[in-house]
Amino acid sequence: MTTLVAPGHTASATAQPPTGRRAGRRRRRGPGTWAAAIVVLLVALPVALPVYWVILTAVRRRDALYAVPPKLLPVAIDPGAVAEVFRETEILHWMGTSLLLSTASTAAATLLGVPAGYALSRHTSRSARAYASGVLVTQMMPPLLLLVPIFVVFRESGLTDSLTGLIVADTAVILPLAIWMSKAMIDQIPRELDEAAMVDGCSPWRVLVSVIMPVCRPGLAAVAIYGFIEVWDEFLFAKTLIVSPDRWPASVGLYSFEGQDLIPVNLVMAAAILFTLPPLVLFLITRRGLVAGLAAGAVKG
Amino acid sequence: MTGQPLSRRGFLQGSAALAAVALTGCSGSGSGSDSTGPIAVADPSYTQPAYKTAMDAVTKQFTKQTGAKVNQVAPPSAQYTSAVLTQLQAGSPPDVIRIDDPQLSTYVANGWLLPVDDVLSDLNLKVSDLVPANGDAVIDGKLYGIVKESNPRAYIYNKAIFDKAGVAAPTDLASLEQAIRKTTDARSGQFGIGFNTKQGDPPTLFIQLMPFIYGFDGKFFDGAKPTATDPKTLEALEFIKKLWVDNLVPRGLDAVTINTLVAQGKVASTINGAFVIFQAKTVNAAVAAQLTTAPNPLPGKTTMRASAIWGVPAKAKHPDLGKKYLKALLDPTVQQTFQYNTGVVVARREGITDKFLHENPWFQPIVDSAFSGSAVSYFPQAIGAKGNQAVQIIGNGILDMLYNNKSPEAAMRETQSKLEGLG
Amino acid sequence: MSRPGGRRRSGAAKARTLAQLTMLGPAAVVLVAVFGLPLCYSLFSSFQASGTGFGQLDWIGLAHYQTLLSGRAFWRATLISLIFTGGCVLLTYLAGLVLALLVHRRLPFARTVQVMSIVPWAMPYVAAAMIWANIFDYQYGPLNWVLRDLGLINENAGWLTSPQLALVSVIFVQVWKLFPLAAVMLLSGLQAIPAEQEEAAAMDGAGQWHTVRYVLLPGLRGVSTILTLLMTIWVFGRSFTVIYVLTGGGPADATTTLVLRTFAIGFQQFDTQAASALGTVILVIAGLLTTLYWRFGLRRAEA
Repeated sequence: MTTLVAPGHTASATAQPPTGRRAGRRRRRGPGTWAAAIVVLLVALPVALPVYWVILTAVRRRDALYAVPPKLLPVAIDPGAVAEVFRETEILHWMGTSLLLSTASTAAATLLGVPAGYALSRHTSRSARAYASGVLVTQMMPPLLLLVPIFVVFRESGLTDSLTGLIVADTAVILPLAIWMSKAMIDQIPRELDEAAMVDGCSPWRVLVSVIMPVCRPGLAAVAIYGFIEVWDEFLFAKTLIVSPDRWPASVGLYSFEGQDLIPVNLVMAAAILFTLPPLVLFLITRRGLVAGLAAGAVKG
Repeated sequence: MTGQPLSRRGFLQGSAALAAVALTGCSGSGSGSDSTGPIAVADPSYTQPAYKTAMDAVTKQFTKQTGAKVNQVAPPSAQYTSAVLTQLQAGSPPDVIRIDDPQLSTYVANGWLLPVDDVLSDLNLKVSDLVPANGDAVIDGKLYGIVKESNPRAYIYNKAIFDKAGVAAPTDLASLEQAIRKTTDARSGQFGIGFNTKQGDPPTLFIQLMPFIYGFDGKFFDGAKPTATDPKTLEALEFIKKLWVDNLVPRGLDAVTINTLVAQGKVASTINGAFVIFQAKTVNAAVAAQLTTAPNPLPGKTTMRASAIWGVPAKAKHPDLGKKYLKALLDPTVQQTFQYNTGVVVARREGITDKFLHENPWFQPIVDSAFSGSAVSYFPQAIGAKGNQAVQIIGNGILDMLYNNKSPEAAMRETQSKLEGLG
Repeated sequence: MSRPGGRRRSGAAKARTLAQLTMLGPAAVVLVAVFGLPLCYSLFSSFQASGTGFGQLDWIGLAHYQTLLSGRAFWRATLISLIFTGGCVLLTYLAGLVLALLVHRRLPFARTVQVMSIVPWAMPYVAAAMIWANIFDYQYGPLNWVLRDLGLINENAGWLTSPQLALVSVIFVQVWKLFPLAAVMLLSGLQAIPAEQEEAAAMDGAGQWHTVRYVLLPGLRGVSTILTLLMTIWVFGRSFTVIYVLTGGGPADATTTLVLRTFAIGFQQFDTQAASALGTVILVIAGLLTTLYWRFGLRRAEA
């Protein structure tokens, strides 16, 4: 009779994982699988159908955009909108800027946030709790209200209209979740690992880098993806701190399709699709990394 | 691990030094001297091709006269007001900004704008030489901006749709209602008339609804006194409600979407500025060719206008150059280029060429209403900076009437008491 | 396991404190500079009279708060904020959990769905809201037409034009945008649960549901609590674009949350000081919600 071990503690020596993968490929046919298939469908539809509609709208001929009844099938198509997006705007340049911002901010937030999460996980003193709460408090006020003082802070630091400044701001945007998620992940790793390493003479930093982080890889990947997408989409700080149009990230540039008096919906959708592609590609790449980390027996016994 | 040479004190000193460097950084305020620029101009219209041509003409004239360059720094139109507001509040605004009616009194009250009387006096012009809308920019005897465009409202309709429905351009309230009914066909998503009925942008909602209020000679303010329950105002609202209840107007759409629908031939008529027709040309030439104007069929005698002015912020880095940019706008040739390309009413009558009127004969009545002063600003200027709250209260009251199915009297009674509470 | 001698113990403790500082310090600097100082300034300006310039002083104490709390609009917006937040967090969590479980249990096509779900996540809020505004449109939207064709409704539903439905619609779109994030976080939480436990349960003959309930969910408690806490704070105090683009706060204030009110007061009525007061109240409410979590959720997770 095996016992269900509480999470966070490695199982005792009695349970052996058969291989690196999870136990076999046990398929249970029957009503369970069908129910599962229905659930998958229920989740897939609200995701897939709007995406389909976005793509369809992007390639729709302009005069058929408000057709009644709406044409649900791929008819009345004019893929020229995509080309027009490239022609009329600097979307590639914008996306390049966005890429720079997302990558740099995510790297910075991981660099700053994971150690902080580790420290908060291992120390539960009152000051640690105060720090953790403080991190949360920064998220509690609508950022709309902070734009003017933030602008002034950055101006006095000479960081307005600079990508460096925006990277700092974006790092701050994703830091809180990075810190708290790291803390949550590391909470699940038993302290015995830390102590064993420290007995061997490792400093806390060494413990973090060599012992903790390899185990956290799925969590780190999750934080990285979150950070990337969050900064990719961020436009409040971007539009406040960046003045020159040639430094616009794509999130701000997307707004420029909305004319003063007209909205070319198909162009906006075409731009939106292009805008969504890089994070999608990134996710596909990191997904493989996620699985690879697991297969290598990331969770040590 | 062996001890590190880094001591705690050293670490703290280091980070303090780093922070100090970061904060002082290169914060020397704008080192460019006033006479060489480049100046920062912020008007989001620049992203539209017609306005780009127009504004480039201004820039060319400006550079010719001053030798300074111009940077167009406007954020996208949807973000414009909030971004400029942030910059004004933080004390780092561009050198020339676009200001719409709702912001003007607030900006002046906060001391954010420079008087620009000298721009006119340098050209030997008086405010009365310009389009009457420019008078709105005179506050407490000082001029705070030059009209870049003034747009009196016109009754715009799609002649092809009307012909197909067998309807002629309406000449009074009854024929207007009939025209709307005959050109509405729910089955094909066609509506006889369109106006903004979406929350979220109070000034625009107000702009779209005021033509109807004025069209019945109604009003919300008599000077500074609220008159939401004025019988003519209520009559106008009854009319609006009737259109809504009978599904003659699209529901829940903002002004930009309505204009887009007009340009696609899905909305047969609207009361708006002539720029709708010009914008339509860029997206759907076929439909744009069908759009034309007719005299306002509503019984009221007042026409409405909405304007945009260019002003120079008080904390601009190059205020004198900013004023020269305004001066460049007023150059007669520049005015003509501007007007011809964008189709708006510009500040000087000379800007509207016979050539343009010949090509667009329906524009004549618009010009007339603009320069005769019979077109009135939609924004309640008399109550100054409280205007924005008033506009929001009124807009919410009208939306309450439509979406919560209240009678105009009930909705306006509430609105009236809220307006009176503004003080 | 012999401990180091007396002098070296304090050396190790010192090194540990230093490590703590270097681990926590940089993040703190960034957060204080970007958020902390501006937050203090916003708080400070909430005690100034409306129209006060930046950095200037015109103290009126709690007057803004008094006006705020005595107005019906505030309480209405608070109620709507709470409903909106509760609905979003609950549904986001559930949807994310379902997707995470599907992927974790390696159900067919689950991974495909997860990849697809990156699109709602990564799509800019503005575009997402626009397309849903189109889908939900009263007269032109495909949703109404499809439902009518299927015979499910008789006449067009006011997804965004009915005061009752609008709140549901905006919640749906916000959840649509957020649930992939929840799924990714929960999935990594699931993957951190030692595989032996699931195998042990399977060998015991536990069914799917049983495994989920007694092995996986408890294992997720830490991540779940923090995820829902962060989402609550985020949705309550920051969610803006979805509602703004879809309904603008309407119809007739039916979806006007506290954040929407802040925008209206600060950027449409140009009253920064009153808006700051409202922002502070939002912060206080969020703080209260956090304290509740702390009492009931986090303590249990850390136990």
